[in-house]
Amino acid sequence: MNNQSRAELIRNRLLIFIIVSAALLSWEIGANMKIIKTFYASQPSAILIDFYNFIMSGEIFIHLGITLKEATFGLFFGTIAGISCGVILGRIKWMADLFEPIISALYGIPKLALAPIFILWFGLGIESKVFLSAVLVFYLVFFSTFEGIRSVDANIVAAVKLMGASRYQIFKNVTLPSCIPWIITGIRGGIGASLLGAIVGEYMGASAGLGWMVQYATTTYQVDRVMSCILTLLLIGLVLNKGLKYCESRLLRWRPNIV
Amino acid sequence: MNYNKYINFEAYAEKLSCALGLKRQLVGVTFFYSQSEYDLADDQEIKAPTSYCAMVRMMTLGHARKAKFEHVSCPGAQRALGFVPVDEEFSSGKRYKSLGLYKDIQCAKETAAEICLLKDKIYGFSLRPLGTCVMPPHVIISICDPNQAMRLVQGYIYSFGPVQPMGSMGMQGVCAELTVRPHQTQEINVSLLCSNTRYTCSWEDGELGVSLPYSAFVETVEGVISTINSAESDKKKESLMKRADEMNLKMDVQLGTAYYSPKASKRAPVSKKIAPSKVSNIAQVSTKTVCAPTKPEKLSISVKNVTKAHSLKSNEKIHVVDNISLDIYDQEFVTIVGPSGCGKSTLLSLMAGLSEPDSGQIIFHGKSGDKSNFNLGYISQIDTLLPWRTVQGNVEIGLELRGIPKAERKIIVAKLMKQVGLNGFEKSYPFELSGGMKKRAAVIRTLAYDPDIIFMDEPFVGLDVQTRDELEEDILNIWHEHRKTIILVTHDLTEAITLSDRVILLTARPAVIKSEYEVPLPRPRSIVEIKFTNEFVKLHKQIWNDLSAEVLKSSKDNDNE
Repeated sequence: MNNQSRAELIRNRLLIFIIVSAALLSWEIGANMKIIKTFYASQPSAILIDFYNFIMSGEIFIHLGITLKEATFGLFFGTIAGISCGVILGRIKWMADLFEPIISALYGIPKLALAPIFILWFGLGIESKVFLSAVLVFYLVFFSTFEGIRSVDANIVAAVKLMGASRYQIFKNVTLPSCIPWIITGIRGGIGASLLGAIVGEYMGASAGLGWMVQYATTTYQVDRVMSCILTLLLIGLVLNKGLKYCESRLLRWRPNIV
Repeated sequence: MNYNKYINFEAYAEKLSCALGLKRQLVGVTFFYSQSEYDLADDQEIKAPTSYCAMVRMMTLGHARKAKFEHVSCPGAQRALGFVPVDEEFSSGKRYKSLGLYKDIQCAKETAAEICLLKDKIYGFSLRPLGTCVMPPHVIISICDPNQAMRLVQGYIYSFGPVQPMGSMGMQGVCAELTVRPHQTQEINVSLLCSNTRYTCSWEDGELGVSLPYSAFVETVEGVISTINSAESDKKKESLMKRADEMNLKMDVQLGTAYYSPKASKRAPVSKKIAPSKVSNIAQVSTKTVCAPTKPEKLSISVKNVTKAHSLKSNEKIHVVDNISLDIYDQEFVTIVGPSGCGKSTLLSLMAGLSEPDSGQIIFHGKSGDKSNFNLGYISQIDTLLPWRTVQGNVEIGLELRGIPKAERKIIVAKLMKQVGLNGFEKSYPFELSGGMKKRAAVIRTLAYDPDIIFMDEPFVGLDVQTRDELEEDILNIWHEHRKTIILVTHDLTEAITLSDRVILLTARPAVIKSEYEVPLPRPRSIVEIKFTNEFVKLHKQIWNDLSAEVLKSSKDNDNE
């Protein structure tokens, strides 16, 4: 990285920091001057204090743990299913002809609308949320994998085939690596979707988890707590995105520009 | 018979070393059949157990040692030299099969039977530089380069007539192939040195082994000198004479006696062997002043009455290739030119098996004859490097697909990368390379897995002139070193003439062969200089005339449509 872009980076970071602080500060001042009603919107200082208590009491870890568990399982199963179906349908033409329209048709259903049904089927426990997350993730990963398999460079396949590669070797050495950017794109969307699935599932019916906490706190007018939960989710999102970016830069070193 | 020369073998050893310019000393192997014989020999004994080939290597540097059973550390040599009896497992081929060296038990068994094993029970042996041997040894080993090996074999044949096929199994090089076999058959033998000795003894890449029974030694030396007189160039002889002067030897070598030198041909015209032309329509270019590359007669690929049509969307069919027959020989560099859109690329992809002809046949004359076992290389105009692999990874992919171990791949790739100046870019990804470098990587990627035939479909399209020139130079060098059959499609006549042995001109669509031109320019060629030679200009003009007639015809056809 050259000096100019580094200076630019620092400047941008600084600007972001200023903008965010200004927003928080005006929120705080607005709340103190009673322009913003703290009953509905709370205020940064109160949120921080509640967040601190939330952590210190250890409560956060119980709820966060459950939500993350649901999201992670959902992401895991959804990704596995998405990649497998994507690969199978991408490779076997008659399967694609048969199942792709069905999967596309089902995609039209707003998945969140299915949450109550899943709770009916799988109960109030973790399973229904995992299932909802997995379904959300599945579609994202499936479509991008499927697309990736179909857009493998036929010239490269022909070249490697001519070198004497077997079908399996072509799959391993050409098809799979060329799909990785596509799969990563799918997973990137999948991370957000898995959290969404878990949280929404908890809204619908649960006894623990960040989603349940938000729901519960709202009904009991603890806006500080609602905001603490949202803050937690924000931080989780940031961490996961950073992690994925790192993985991406490691896996996709061979590409000219990684954004 | 003059027995004196058999006793005076040290002088012959010197003569041979000088005549061939051997870098290593000739090694004499003497077997001892009893302990008393062994004890009598005054050589130092090898101290620690050593592999037999390492001992031989030591002696090629001038040492002298004797050894017996307990000094030989490698099981191969222990068996070959008869120190350990051959067991059931070995002779049934089970051992070799279990090592994965041969495809099936039958194959392993037959090979095991062919491996030369000493039948007489020996007690020990001595290895000495031939010049220091007191008594004539049993076998004489020379580790030399392929040129020297060729000269030795020719020298042997000069005196004794043709030999049985060389007993080189690729296994147990120095012990079985260079020691036991010549001793048993009393014939010369050549070994490519087994992988074990190649790596443990680190022979140089260009080194192999030739071995003679002592009984054939003196005559072979005489044969070597005679054949040098009749077959080597004056330049080589001059350096030989210089060597002889330095060593204070009298060599019976005369300048100007080679059968192809102008002086010799004046005295006794020797019929030069030039491959008969395959077609009637040969270019009328003078060939008398140049030494045409002698073409190996082995066929590499034959195209027989091949026809191909492309069907259009409107259900119309366009005849692209019309009943073409063509023979391409092993190690030949053939270029196909023709007006654009005439079907030269189609013909190439038919030959490479990328598409099937409507009628006719493509026949490969490889070792197996079966196309699926035939190694083909294809370099196209589009970039087909795998973007997710480094340059190293790309170049070695063909080897990887063949299951070559990593260490070996690395050696092969490093050598090729160096050859085209890509060293230092092993860890780069294709997107980081320039167009010319990518092309180079694509070329050596194909070379790496050593295909029998390489097809090139306008490989240099889209590169600037300078890069093109450099790449052509690379291709010339590569062809010179690896001697592949290369079939190139191009629309650039200069490129065609510069690179190839034969240029084939196709007519406008549907393509048939209009004419063929032998390129009489000597190799090695220089890309820059060659363009200014008379032959080049003449040939270029001739092909250009014929080609432009075709181009005119094809554009007329298009207008009519």
